[in-house]
Amino acid sequence: MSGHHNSQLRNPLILGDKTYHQISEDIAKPVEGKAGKLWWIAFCISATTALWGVGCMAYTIGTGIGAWGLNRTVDWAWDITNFVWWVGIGHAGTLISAVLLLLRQKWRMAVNRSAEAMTIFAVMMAAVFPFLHMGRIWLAYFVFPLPNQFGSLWVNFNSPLLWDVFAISTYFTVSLVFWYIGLIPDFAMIRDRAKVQANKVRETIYRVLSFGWSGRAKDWQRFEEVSLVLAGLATPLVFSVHSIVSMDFATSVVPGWHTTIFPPYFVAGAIFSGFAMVLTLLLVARKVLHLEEYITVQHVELMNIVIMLTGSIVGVAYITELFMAWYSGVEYEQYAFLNRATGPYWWSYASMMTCNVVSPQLMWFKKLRTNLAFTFFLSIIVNIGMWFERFVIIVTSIHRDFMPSAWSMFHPSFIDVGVFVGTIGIFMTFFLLFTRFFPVLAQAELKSIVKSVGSQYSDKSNKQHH
Amino acid sequence: MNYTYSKQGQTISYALIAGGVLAAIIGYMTADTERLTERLWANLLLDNFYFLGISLFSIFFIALQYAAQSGWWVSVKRVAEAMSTFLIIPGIIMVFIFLVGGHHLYHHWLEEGVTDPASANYDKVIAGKSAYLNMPFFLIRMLIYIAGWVGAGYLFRKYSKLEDESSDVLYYRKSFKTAVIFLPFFAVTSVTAAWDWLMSIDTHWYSTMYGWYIFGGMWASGTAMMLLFSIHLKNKGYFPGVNDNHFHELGRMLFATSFLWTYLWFCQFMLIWYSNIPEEVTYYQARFHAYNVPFFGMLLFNFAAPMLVLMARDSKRSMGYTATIAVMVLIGHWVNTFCLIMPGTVGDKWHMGLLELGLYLLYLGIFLFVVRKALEKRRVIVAHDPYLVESEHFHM
Repeated sequence: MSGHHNSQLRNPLILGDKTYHQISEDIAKPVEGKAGKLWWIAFCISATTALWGVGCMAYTIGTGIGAWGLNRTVDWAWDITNFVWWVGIGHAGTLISAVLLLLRQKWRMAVNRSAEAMTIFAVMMAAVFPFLHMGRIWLAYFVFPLPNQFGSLWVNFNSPLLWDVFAISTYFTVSLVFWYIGLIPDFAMIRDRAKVQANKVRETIYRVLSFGWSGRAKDWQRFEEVSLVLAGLATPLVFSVHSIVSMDFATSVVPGWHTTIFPPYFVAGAIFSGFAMVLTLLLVARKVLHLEEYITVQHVELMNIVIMLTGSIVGVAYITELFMAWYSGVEYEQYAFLNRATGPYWWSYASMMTCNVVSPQLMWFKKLRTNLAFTFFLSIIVNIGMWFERFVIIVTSIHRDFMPSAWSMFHPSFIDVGVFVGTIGIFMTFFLLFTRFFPVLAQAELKSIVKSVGSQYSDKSNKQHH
Repeated sequence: MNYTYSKQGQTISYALIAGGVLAAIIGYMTADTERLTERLWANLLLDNFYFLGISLFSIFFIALQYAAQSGWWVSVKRVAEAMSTFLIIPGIIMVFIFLVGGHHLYHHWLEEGVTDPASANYDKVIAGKSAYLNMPFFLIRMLIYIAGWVGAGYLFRKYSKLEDESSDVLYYRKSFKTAVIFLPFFAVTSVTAAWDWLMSIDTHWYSTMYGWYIFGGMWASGTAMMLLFSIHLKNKGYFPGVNDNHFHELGRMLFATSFLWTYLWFCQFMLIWYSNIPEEVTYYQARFHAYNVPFFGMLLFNFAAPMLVLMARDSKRSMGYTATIAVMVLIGHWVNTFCLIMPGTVGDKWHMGLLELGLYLLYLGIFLFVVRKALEKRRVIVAHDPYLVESEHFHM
């Protein structure tokens, strides 16, 4: 839509009457300046946690997955929970950048860059778990369909785990390319500024990174075209990745795993948790990097509405599952859900229900969804809830299977916990480095909308002329 | 500008209604008598649900656009409003179908003695569902759904009319409020209505996806109908401000919802087929064997055609292409509804004959008549809306 014909009900998306130059200044500042004390503290904590995680990973590789808390009945628990949790978090980035681009939502431009970065780091963290679970990680290349002459067996194309390999690697590739292409004009901006500032080292680095971007009309035309094509390609991927992850469970015959609603419900849950993580990161980043005029309360509110919507979809799915378990008349199905809610893992079920179904409903109140401290708190609650959701689905469905003599419990080992917390550390380390070396906002895109949604152009009193 | 329902247009509706009744009577008289009563009721349910879905979609569409604070749709708002007026008719007929013909459609769980262990008709699985599937509760639910949907449609139309008369933003806010209250209600009732009216025909069978899958079908077929009405109004000159961009947006919605429906269809089908659990897979076995051609054939209409044709930007902006695809999608989703209802009611004794055609034309005739009458009553483009300015200058 043409920016100069906004409804008087629309609020400006960029505050502080920004000019083009101010946008450049604001966004280049963290890259050009020195890191503050807060950044260093956060970095040290993250890096230490990351090191602990790397130690636990090395231990797992050295001794084998016996170091984990798995047993014969619960032979898939902590690792797959973490895998699904991270992949889910990795969903918001592409949704924001691809789906919202296709829907021409301008508010995405303040959050897309960091959301995409988060996506890429989250998918990398997700990949850690299946790799570690292979045990002999040095043979990992056998997940790809290699010719028979190469060695042993052709992969099993009937297995959803193999579909995962394709789905996630495609998703990762497209997300990475999409993200990088968006970065090119912004890298070029830093390069050009470095030239003026006579900073040779920085100029060289960003010259390489910006692929010789010239800013000519032809460059921009190709840039826009490829963005649209990639957005078109990435949109089905938003759906396919988590649908296929859900099929890891839903194609089985295990009560609690085999249910047809899984694919769309997993997608909704992934967007739910992804947006929560975006909020967790951005609420901190906007303060530390002074981006309050770009990532406004309105942006936070819109993301909270997405959380409320997807949380409600997830809630409908939970209740549908519960109802259908009863309605099916299949006693195993009924028991699986009864056991979830009232069995020895009732507390994880209760946490999941509280965090995922009840708490997002609080976002119906405008006071709460525009309250930044509350939003920050809730975004963490949602991510805890989404971790429990996967834990509930995975562990409670298999710890009491068809044969009561095999029933058992799952207890994570020290190594289990270490690997998981370690991935959070690595993730945060990557994200912190990202905020120092990359333009955190898509400045080129912001400049393209500033004249339609900048505060100086959308004075409400002047908007009555239509 | 006001819409005039032309004499010629009215004649078409009357001809559809008369022709439909005639064809249905001839179809009924000449039909194979085996399972004929079931076939008649099943057809009534089929067309009734199909058109109910299309008009229910329009209320959902209005609510969605308000809640999302969307701007572009304001120019075509009246089309959705007019489509929503039809809902009351299939709503009432739905109650009639259940009360009079219920025993031919939902006999598995309505039968005497199904819940009585002493009876020869006793069925343990169905008895277990009787707390949900029983005559009074089913009827109460039905009345709640219809009252809620029709009520929401009425409120949207009322506020929109009042908004025409005053430029006050108050009515916009009221519509917005109605929308955000209606959407959760719709989220639950659209799912349970699908379980009640369609899934309970195959009483033993269950699928958690079912409600969303039915919703996907409503969305696609409703969009197709809305697109056709918009094209009609554009061609007759009532839509000077509605341009390629608006049609692009509608075409995009048809494209996206066709994908959504196919995605939901595929996931439900694939997971059940893959797991091959006897209780579940029987549902698809019945469709594989006796309904092979319509069951898979509809994918050409509902998926392949919209995907291949509407992928390109230019075709979404061409009324010829979008209209053709919209008609195909409407046919495809009728076949989809056919495959949902028939296997559980007439089994392998299905036909697509004069009876089916006649009842469809009858419903189509009434639908077109009611919607176009409703269009006549108000300005074709709203006089006031805070987002009207955005819709007039919509560009993508």
